[in-house]
Amino acid sequence: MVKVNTKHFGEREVEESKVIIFEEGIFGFENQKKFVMLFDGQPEVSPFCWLQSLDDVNIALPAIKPELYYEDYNPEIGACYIEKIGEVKEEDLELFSIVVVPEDIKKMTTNLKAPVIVNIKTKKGIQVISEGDTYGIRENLYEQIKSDSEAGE
Amino acid sequence: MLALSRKQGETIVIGDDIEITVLAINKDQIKLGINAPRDVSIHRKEIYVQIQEENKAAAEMPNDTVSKLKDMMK
Repeated sequence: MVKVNTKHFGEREVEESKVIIFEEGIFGFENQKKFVMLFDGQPEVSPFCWLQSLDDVNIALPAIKPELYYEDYNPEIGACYIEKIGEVKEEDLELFSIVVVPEDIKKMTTNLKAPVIVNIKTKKGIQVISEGDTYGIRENLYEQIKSDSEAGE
Repeated sequence: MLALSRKQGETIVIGDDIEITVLAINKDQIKLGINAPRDVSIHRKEIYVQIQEENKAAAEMPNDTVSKLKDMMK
């Protein structure tokens, strides 16, 4: 186990195997190379997780698994980018999209254009920009979550 | 910044393996063709910058965001 200082959850113990190496950092934080994905409670209770930097405690970005709310989510990503973090095998890859939560939570958006991809086998991650205009950088997530939970009731 | 004049159909070479060709010129727009190795990422700068800014905005959330998100899911 490694001790991780987190921005939102104090000190947490995380299995060493959960540390993800981002050799290129992520956009805007190119110098941050080590992250962990923190979950706040059970995934069925909250879909939000946090990409917490191990290099700088103040850097923690909320994220979701986009397929939870965008069923047909299928970004076009060059294999050459995914190869940077290991073999391209769908079962080894997890996709996350970064969430921005402004003061007015109804304006919450997620970046479907540039997903974060984690290879759970190699423990490496990369953020990539998908091709084409199918997905936006600021897709409204609040509406999506609300309509989904209403449909589930 | 290095400035080069090129005509339609002409190419510049960057390093050993990147080529940029002016494909078409239209009033205030030019169309560029780019040949580069597969692992070189090429993006419109404004998209690249927007994504950087979006990540920074995501990281700059106030501390009460966690509880706000929890309340929202109730």
